[in-house]
Amino acid sequence: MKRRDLWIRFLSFLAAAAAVAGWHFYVTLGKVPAFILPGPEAVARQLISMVRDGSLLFHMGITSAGIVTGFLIGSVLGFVLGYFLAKSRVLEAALFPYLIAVQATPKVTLIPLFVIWFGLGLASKLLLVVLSAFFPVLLNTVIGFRSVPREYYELMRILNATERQMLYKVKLPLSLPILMAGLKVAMVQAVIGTIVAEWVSGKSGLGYLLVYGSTQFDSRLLLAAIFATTLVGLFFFWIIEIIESRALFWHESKIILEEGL
Amino acid sequence: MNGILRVKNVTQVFESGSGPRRDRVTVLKDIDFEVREGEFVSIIGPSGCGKSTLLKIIAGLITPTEGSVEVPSAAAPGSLPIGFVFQESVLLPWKTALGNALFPFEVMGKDTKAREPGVRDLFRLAGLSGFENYYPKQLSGGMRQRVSIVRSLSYDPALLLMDEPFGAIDAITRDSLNDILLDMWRETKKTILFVTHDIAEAVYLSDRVIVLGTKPGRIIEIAMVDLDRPRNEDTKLDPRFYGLVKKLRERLK
Amino acid sequence: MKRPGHVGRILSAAALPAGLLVVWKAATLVFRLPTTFLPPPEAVASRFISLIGSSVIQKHFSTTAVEIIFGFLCAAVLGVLAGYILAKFAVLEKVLSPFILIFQTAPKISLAPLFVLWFGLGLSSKVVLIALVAFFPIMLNFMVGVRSINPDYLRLMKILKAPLLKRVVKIEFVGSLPFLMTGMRTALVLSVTAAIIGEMMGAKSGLGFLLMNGYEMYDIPMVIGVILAISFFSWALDTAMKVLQDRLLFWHESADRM
Repeated sequence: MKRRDLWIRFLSFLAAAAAVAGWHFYVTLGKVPAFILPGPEAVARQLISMVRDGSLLFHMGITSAGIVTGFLIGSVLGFVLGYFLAKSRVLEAALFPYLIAVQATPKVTLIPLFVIWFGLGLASKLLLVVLSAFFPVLLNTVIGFRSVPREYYELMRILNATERQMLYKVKLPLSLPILMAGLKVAMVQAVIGTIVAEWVSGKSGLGYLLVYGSTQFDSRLLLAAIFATTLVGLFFFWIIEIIESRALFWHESKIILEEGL
Repeated sequence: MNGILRVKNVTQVFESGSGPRRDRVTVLKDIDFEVREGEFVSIIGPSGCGKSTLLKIIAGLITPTEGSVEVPSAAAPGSLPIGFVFQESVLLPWKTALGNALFPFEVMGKDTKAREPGVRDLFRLAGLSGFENYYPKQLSGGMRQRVSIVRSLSYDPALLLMDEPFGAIDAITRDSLNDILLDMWRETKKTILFVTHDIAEAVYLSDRVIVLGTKPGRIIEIAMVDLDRPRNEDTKLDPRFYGLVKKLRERLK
Repeated sequence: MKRPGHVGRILSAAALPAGLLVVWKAATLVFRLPTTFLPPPEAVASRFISLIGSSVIQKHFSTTAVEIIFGFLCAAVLGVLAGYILAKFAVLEKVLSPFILIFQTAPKISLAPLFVLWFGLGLSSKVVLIALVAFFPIMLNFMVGVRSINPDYLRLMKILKAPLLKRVVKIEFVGSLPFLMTGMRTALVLSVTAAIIGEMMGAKSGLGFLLMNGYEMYDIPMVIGVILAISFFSWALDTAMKVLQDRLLFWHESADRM
């Protein structure tokens, strides 16, 4: 089937090239005004100049730093709390429906409140990203630990294992698939949170660039910023996927349908 | 005691619900029997009659409401008295078959490398030579159960408890697994207590069959299986075989 | 085993939010927080009620609701169509899969300002954003659902000489329903978020717009009120979807318990 795969790859590439070509021709032949939709070369030139003067990398760096910091803090907190929550059946049962409810609400609505409280700086942005990553990880940690089949507990008791052995050798690895799914959702939420936070409160970062390009009606800048944001979003999601495939090499492939915003 | 296992007057009552609607179900009543060293004893009974509960009480996973269980103490340092095989293979998917089989030693903090040759020998007995480095997802259900059996025997337990281990396996594979189990039993000279709902399987494998009733679960009969060993295809053609199966089926009604 | 009565269940469900309200009120009293920082619950409530009284909330709420309805419906129709086509033409799916993957995982909200530029501050820019966001979960889930139909069912229909449309609807659509419902439920939550974010980015009305209004005027009670309103709305939609899902799929060994 190798030949067929190559052929499919080629077709995909062809489709991409056709899309770019279509874009170019639509803009030039349709005489679309540049401020509405610039052509691919204009956007490319914008990107290159922004790379040259360092501004693109600067803003990408700011956004990336926000994403990574918020994601890490939120995930660790979510995991630790999830672990303790899973220990208490009562507490877990009581809080679980609320956790699910909170998951259904958009956390980005909080950014205006945070800015009023904590000002325009880093604190409000970080708080939002942390919260965005925190809840999915917390929820999935609890679900993951819950999902360990009873027989594994029984096996460990027969083997006279300690609580700690139970956690590290059995509970954690078995919950890993669900945990990783939670990390993926958390990463997507962290990216969104960072961008929206930069929209509202930032003076730098890709979110800020998006607002700036929009208010200045600079559609080349806007498109360049969109391109860069897409790149950053894809990159970090890809990192989590790599971690997942390494950690879950043993896992029977399931259909895990991801969500994206 | 020359018996390995002594179950004394075990009664198990489960309670559910609360307040005026509290339900008390006597799952097991006055269970009393003995298993001698090297015996293969089966427990049969209808679903829900508490056979699995009884096995878990013997394993020490549940404390009986009344009565007691005497199990042998660990034979030697580096072993545990009881091995348990579940209906699900309960393997760790990120470990190889060999890794899984050596897992008890990992938990006990013993040197797994040193124990490897013995475990590899068990693999051979189970007909799994060459599959030691396979991951559970690469193995069939029957093979996974065999790994589970090897794991439970790896630390040389005095008593092996098996809770419907072949219940989720198809009939054809089950027959070959029965024979493999008998081979392993013969070679390792273990004492086995085997729970199943399949009367024919129980008769084929065992020296004695304990018949458990339901509501409440009590011992209806303990039947001797007088068939020659080693058991094989011919055993199933022996009229005494299905005579006994038929008789036990009647007793269960 | 006796089940707690309906009253009991509602009470225990309200326990935590009620508790939080108490803590909130207590905190404002104990810490003497300035009302510019954290107003007490009554202040938020009365501000919210006055907003209802002046029909402000209704107006903005209906804008958001309309955006979501239109966007979601578009996405649903297109998603089902595209999902079906991709399920049937595996080669097409393989060729397009890198693009689908990119589009699905990329943060589509970055397109919000572009859509405002193209479609203005009115509802259409939000509807397009919502449709784009809701499209992928619906399409992907439906595609997987159609693919997962046991081919024996289709063969059975062929043997029974059932007409194509009947075959499609009765077997393929109904059989994929569990997957479709999961996708739609995901898509709905994403739609609400997309609507709010789109409105925060550039709009003339809507709950997200109202939120930014309050923010610009430092009207904390309104900001908190709108946050709570949006959260409640989002949760209510998700719950409604879940109820619908349970009703429609009572026959399915439901895999989705969330």
